[in-house]
Amino acid sequence: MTKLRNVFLLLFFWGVVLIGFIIYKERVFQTGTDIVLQTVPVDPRDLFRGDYVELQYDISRLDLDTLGYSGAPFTKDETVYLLLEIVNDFASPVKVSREKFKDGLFIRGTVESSYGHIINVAYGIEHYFVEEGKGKEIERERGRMSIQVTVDKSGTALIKKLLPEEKPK
Amino acid sequence: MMEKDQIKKWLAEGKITEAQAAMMIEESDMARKETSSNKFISTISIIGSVFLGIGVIWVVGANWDGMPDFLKIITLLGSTLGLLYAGYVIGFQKGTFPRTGHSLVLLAAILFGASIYLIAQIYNVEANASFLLFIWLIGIIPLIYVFQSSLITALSCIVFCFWFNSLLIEDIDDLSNAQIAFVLFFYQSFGIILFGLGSLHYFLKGFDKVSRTFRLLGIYLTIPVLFIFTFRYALMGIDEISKNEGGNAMISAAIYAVAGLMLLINFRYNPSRSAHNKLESATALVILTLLLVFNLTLNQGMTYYLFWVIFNVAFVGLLVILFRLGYSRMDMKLINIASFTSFFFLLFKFFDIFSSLLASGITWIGFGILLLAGSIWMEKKRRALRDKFNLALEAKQQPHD
Repeated sequence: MTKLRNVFLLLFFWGVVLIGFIIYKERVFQTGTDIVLQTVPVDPRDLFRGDYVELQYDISRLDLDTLGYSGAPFTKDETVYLLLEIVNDFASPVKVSREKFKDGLFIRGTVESSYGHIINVAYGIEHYFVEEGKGKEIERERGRMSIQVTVDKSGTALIKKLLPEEKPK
Repeated sequence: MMEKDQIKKWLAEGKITEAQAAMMIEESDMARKETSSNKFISTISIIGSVFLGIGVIWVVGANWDGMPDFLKIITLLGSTLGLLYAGYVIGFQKGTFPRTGHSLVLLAAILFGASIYLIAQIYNVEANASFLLFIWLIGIIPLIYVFQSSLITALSCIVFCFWFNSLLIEDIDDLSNAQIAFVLFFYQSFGIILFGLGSLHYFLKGFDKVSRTFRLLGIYLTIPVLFIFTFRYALMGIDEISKNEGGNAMISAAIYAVAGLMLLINFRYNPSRSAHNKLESATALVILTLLLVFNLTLNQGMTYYLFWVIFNVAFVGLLVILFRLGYSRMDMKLINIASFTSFFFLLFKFFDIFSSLLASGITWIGFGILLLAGSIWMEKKRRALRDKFNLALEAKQQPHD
């Protein structure tokens, strides 16, 4: 009887973990704001997870001088917040900080590497999974693509969809 | 299973009658067939489960054209939870098909991982995100304790290693300069942690198989890394790399502390209090201490030659202890591990030490003869030991006059 109870507890635990994962991600979609980012795809493949395109955004590489940043240099793995503004329908960087911005639209990332006033940042939206066989097709569209992303109040970003044209619809 | 020779011997000595001998031989044959059949069924059901799991992951990877996301999740979630329950019912509750039940639990554990990856894929989560493996690991560890399953124990250890590797990959940019020293230390220490963890599981009733799986995996991990440390150039390389990469002293210290604590608890409180158990824990503690000293002396102008000698002596000592434990515990697995490791150790040491003589054909012939003779001797010895162990085990199981 104890074993049966443990099995049910385990089934419940697995259900909570999987459904909790979905709820956590869905919450970002429900509460977040949609923005459009310009991107360049690079195409690797995950053997276990089908085709995906690796994406690099204009905001993946930040020039701290251009953004008027004068604080201490960023180091690898540091959390960074990037304030955004919408220019011609696309999100553009305005200001970078280690602290969350009190208001405005901002996205949270992690510093991947730092070279003086240039930092490379990952936002957790660098992979976009596509149907098998479509990766190459998307790669051929390289340079003419944008991504619709949802960003919530804490700066967490999730990819919503891939827009084939450079201009958002 | 009784050996026929033994039965004939008893018959000749007049300990049993001809009718009894015939019955014992028949029972022995039946028992042998039953064991063989059980192993075959286990193997087939495990392979079947693994194939099914790989198939599902593959289908997930192919993105299931045209199927809505919620349907994918419900299908995978339903089959995962359903298989776990089915495995429990037929393998444990009713007990009608225990082997298939264990295999279905393994399949459910694999599908749980596949479900996590599918959900991550739907939300375009990073392909190599380490936390996905971590969630998988957290989800399957309880299975070890609910089902006392050695298969799940092995799967958990494998997922843990993948998780650790993915953490490293996230953390480092260049694998060629990839904190190799730390990786080696980690796997060595992790091996010892597994060994300690396995020993602690002997405190729990009904966890003998889980304990053995942990301990064997620990030995499998420890031996290759310690083997690498028996080469002088490897030690020099590790020192050089650690100069560039800086220290992981805190993490290393934490790993050593955990491993050391487990071994000490086992050494002091293991209910068996046998000499074997104390010898095992003491051996693991000695290896751990050696690693700690080596780790602390990195970048301190260490004497490679000294550590080279120490690690070689430690490795040979470990092999001797494995042989001794295998022999006294009548454990063929330990004897096999020690035999194969000794063979490779000798082979590599020959090339390492006598590399300057390799231009001579005589050296090759000499070593070839030595290896052939050694392998024949080892095989004969191994078979003799196996027969001896079987006989001893059978004798224990037979009722005495």
